[in-house]
Amino acid sequence: MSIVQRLLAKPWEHAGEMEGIHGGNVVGRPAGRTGLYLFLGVITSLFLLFSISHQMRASYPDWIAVAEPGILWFNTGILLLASISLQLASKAALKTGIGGADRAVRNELLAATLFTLLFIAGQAYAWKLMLDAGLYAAGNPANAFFYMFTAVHAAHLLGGMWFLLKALQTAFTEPDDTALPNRIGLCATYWHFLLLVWALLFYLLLSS
Amino acid sequence: MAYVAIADRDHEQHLHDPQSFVTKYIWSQDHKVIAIQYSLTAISVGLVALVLSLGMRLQLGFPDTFSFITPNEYYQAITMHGMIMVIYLLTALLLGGFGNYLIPLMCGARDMVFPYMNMLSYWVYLLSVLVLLSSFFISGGPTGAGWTLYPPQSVMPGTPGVGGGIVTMLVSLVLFIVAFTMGGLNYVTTVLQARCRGMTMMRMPLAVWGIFTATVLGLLAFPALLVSGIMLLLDALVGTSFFEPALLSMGEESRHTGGSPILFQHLFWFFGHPEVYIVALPAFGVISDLVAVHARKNIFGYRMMVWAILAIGVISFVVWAHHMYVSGMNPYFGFFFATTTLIIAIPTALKVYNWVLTLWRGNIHLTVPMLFVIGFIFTFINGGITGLFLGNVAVDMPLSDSYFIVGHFHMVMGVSPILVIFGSIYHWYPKITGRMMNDRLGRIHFWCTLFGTYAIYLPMHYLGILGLPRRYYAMGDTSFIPDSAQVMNAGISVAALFVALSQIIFLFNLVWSRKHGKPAGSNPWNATTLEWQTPQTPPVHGNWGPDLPVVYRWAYDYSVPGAAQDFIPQTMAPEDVPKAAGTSYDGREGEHS
Repeated sequence: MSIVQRLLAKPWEHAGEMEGIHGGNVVGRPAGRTGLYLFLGVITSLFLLFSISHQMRASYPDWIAVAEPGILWFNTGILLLASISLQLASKAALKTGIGGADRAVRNELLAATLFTLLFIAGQAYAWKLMLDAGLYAAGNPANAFFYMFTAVHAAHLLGGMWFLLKALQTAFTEPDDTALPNRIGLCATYWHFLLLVWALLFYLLLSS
Repeated sequence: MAYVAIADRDHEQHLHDPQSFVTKYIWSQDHKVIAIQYSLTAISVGLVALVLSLGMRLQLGFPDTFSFITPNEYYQAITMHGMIMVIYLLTALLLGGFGNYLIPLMCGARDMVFPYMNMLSYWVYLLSVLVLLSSFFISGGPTGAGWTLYPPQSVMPGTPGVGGGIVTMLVSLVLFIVAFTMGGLNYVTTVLQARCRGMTMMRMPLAVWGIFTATVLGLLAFPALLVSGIMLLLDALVGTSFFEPALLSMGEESRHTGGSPILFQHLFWFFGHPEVYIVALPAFGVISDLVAVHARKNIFGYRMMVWAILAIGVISFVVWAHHMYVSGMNPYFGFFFATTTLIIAIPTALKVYNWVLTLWRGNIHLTVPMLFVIGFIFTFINGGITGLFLGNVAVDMPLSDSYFIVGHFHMVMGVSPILVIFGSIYHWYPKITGRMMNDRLGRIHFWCTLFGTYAIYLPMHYLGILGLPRRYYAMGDTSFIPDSAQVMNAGISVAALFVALSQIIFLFNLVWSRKHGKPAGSNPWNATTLEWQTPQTPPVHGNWGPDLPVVYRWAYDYSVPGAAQDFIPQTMAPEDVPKAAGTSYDGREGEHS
């Protein structure tokens, strides 16, 4: 039933009617995935507002465009690899049937973890390059946005790492856990989303 | 992978069973305990804000009388009073308190879908409150920048609490937003996915609709406060210039360059206006349920009420700049936002009409909750109409910095939701504790609160039209303000003291009735909704015993023609409905609507 049809229902009629009516599950997906989608909505709002602020602030005359460190390209590639690894882990976990993690799943999860850590280390190195070049946050709003965007994005990835590490631990200690494929799938979705967010932020940084 | 619906899972009732005193009452994952934790914390911090407002009123009513209130302390009191009341009391109580208690019970769920995260939500909220209150004990005290924390002055020397005060405020807000997000994800997902069998969206009580929509608003709007908070924090701590312009302060050039204070205002109010409805929508929803129960009549225009809630939710995101008419923004923007402000009044007025039409020819029981319902409708109409008035740019300009605004927003955003909160506590207390609150004390509390608050806020409208400026520590010798204004100011302060003292009656009743109140039974108001149909009162962990309830009808089957009783619980199948003598009612027809 579409949302419009639901909202047009006349609940005062049809008392007692139970055929074809809500059976205790309105959305055919696990609650964790619904919760994640909602959270992605929150993050979308957050980064959208950051982006709008960036665009507004960039229009002021004191803005001095900054040449971002080239390592950001490399970091972007690494984050892409983390995302791909998680996608492969998710696919492999689903293939194994009733939950469970085989060798491929564990390897892909391990790879995703390492790639993510490498990405964050790379972002930290980009900070060092900026600081070495004397481009401090207080110096110019363009610098400040660089530090803020990278930090807030990394904080979201680190939050995700908690769940990824838990999935990794389960893959090694309880490989038959039936909830594992779902958890890996959620991590994959979250990583893909943060890759998109990073692409947007990187574009904004490059374009101003 | 096979997916089993939450409501159909085996052994769902044993999830998160408390094992000890600590897991039952402290690190509890039970939504009811978390709701009480949220509520008690919010009420406690709200009392702090109440005391702060009394300090302000003593100064305004009797200037130069109380030496312990300095200008700095006055501004700190204003700031903390506003922020605590809006965020840490109203938002936390209506969503964290009522949302937690009512959603699973009214939807027929055993608990929130993410109980652990729900527990974390409360503890992070408590941490945010403690961080906020810690600013009273640090050097320089809390920030005195005003609750809107507008830059540049919020981080400039000369403003009270410019060192640690503003930092603790911003850190506390960030923590609050984290806590709200964890709770909010729970509320929305629980409504979407954990409703019991038969509970369609359109069979949900309007209280759930209000809380659900307000939570969605919060999830989308709080990020704006987070963005502005993070950027302001960086301006204060790191010396960035997101908002801080280059300026001379106390003869010295500031370290900032070219930031945009207006950008902060846009971000703040992009959060700030939906925040009005984050508080109002749960109140609207709850009041709809209370009015139906205590007038023994189905809510008038249920579908329109749902649509109005959704419409208000959407439109609330495009009215924010009516708070900024005096900021110097483009007049065409003012025209746009004045128009949207008038438009949002349509679904809001529709709700008011429907409450009044529900009362019309209803079997009105003047219980204490009903008194608060009627008080709310009056007050909301007062505050709402002055809001329409102020939505016009030409009217707002001269009144914006006057006491008219203080009167308006306290009526619509202060007194109205507080009346709903009181009414709701009197209404649901029997379910929470198993005992009734004392009726006589409740009535005294109601009349003292209603008349007292009107004695405070109605005169403020008049003072505003006289031109009395708000935010001033003392009026001094101001020729255009007559002496009588000061007499009125003193009267307002006396009324404020009276209202504050009368809350002791409520607090006494709250504590006393816990042990000495009349036993309530499971459904003292003869209500239809699910929370009154639990096997035990108060509901035990898991809420429903071995089997989840099944819902056969909407939430407002009151005074159904042909039925023996004047209410039919949502869980009653048509064939089980007792018939009135000499009728042929089959429990299915909807003609009564």
